[in-house]
Amino acid sequence: MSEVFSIFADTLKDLASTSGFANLQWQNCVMILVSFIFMYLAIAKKFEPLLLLPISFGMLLTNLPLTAMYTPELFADPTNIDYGKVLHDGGLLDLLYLGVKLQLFPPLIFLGIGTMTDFAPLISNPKSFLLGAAAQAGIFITFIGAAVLGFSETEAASIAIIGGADGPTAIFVSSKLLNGDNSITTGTIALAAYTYMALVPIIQPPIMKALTTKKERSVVMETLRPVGKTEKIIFPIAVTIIIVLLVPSAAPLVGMLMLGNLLKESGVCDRLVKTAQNELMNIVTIFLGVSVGATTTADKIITAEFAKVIILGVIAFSIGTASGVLFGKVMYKVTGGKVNPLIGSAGVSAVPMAARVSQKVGAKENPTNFLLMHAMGPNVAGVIGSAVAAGVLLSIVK
Amino acid sequence: MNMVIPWTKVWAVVITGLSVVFLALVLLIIFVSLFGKIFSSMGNKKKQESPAPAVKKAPEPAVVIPESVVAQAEDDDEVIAVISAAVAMMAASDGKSYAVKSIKRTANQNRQAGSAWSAAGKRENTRPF
Repeated sequence: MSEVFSIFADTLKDLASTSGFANLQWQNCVMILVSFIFMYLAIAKKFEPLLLLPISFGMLLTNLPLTAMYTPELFADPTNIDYGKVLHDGGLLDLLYLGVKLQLFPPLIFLGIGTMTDFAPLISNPKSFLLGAAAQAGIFITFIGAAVLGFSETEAASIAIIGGADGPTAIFVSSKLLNGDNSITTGTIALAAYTYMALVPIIQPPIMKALTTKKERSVVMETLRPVGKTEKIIFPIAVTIIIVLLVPSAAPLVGMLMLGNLLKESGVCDRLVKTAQNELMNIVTIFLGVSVGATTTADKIITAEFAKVIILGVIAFSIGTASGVLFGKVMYKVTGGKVNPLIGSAGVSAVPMAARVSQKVGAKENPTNFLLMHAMGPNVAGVIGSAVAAGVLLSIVK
Repeated sequence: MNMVIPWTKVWAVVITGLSVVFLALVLLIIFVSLFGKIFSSMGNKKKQESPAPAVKKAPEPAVVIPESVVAQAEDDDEVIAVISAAVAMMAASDGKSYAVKSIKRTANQNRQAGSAWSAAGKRENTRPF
């Protein structure tokens, strides 16, 4: 009888020592609390919940010890990741993370975004492209800031792309450039990007007001001309050819974005459009979110580098907004007061939130002024602009 | 703080990045403006060729007409249907019956805002926060 009890006691001891509780370290506990904060922001504050909730849950899973769902060691070697080993030994989140690491998910999300984007405001007012380009200054000026703070080239580029205010683009660039040796991860970048995208209505208005006069903010813009179907069909094809010839490394993002848009504008692929913008996009969003969240292991987040990324991220957003508005002011001067500089801030992608902010700030000066469609031009141009910027970063930063 | 990236590389990234982004988008501006011009000139030609569509009278239902909305018709059956439906809804709640004899667009007081209805509609759709 006593033997039975000793076996029972030994088994209990074994179970206890191999349980998560015994292996829980304080860093894990901190990270679990951090994941709660992001879950709260997603659920109660509705901060980009479709992405932030899966990301924060991924963060929770990866910080529970001994689950072996995500194994950073498998992706540690920057030059030679043994994908056979990942398939053989990897956990669930390792396998899902392959879609991020191999650059599958962000372009598929762009396909869905393409089916939901209307480029008509941009086609009818092509000058908006300039504002979409100007707002990308946030990316490159942040690159300087990251360099000054001592980040390596690949890290600085990954941080800078947060300024593009475009989640999939940021994940696309950072997952390609970052590896296990870096002090930051794709998850860090995604957390900062999505948090700040949700904060666009808070970050942007003070900058927009500070940089413009009351007279500039009250400019009523001319009605946009209607855009024909043929123009809408030619646009995605032409943009793909021009951009991909110029910046080949932007091809996955721009190509998929424009394919989605062509499917929509052609009007003959309704079934594909529905799948791309609903089922496919939703599935990919879940996979992307939870696996990107899994990269936020304690050793990557409880560091001074993470704090730096958070600070640089808000600087990137602010500079993008400011340079868009300042360029808008230039266009206001050049056109003799026909362009409202407020639409410049929509050049940071964050579709359609940034355009709505322009509308809201403009409506404060003149409630009958509807800038929304005018701001959608720079807004969708910003998506193309940040995809190009991503391509440039990928081709010059190695 | 020690910088890992040399300043020459930093400036190279910044200058190349910004100029390539601007170059790409300027190329797109040139292209889109060109084809925009071509299409709008094609559109104008078509308009000149085809005669203005004939003005069609709104259908007059043979119902007792106690009150009526007076004006001139436009050739858009769908708009007429929508307006008639709205009038019918009102009629049902009033307990009176109306007939739409004709529909006329009022002059826009404010080009941007349009009528009070469209202004209200736009405001509804553009108030996100």
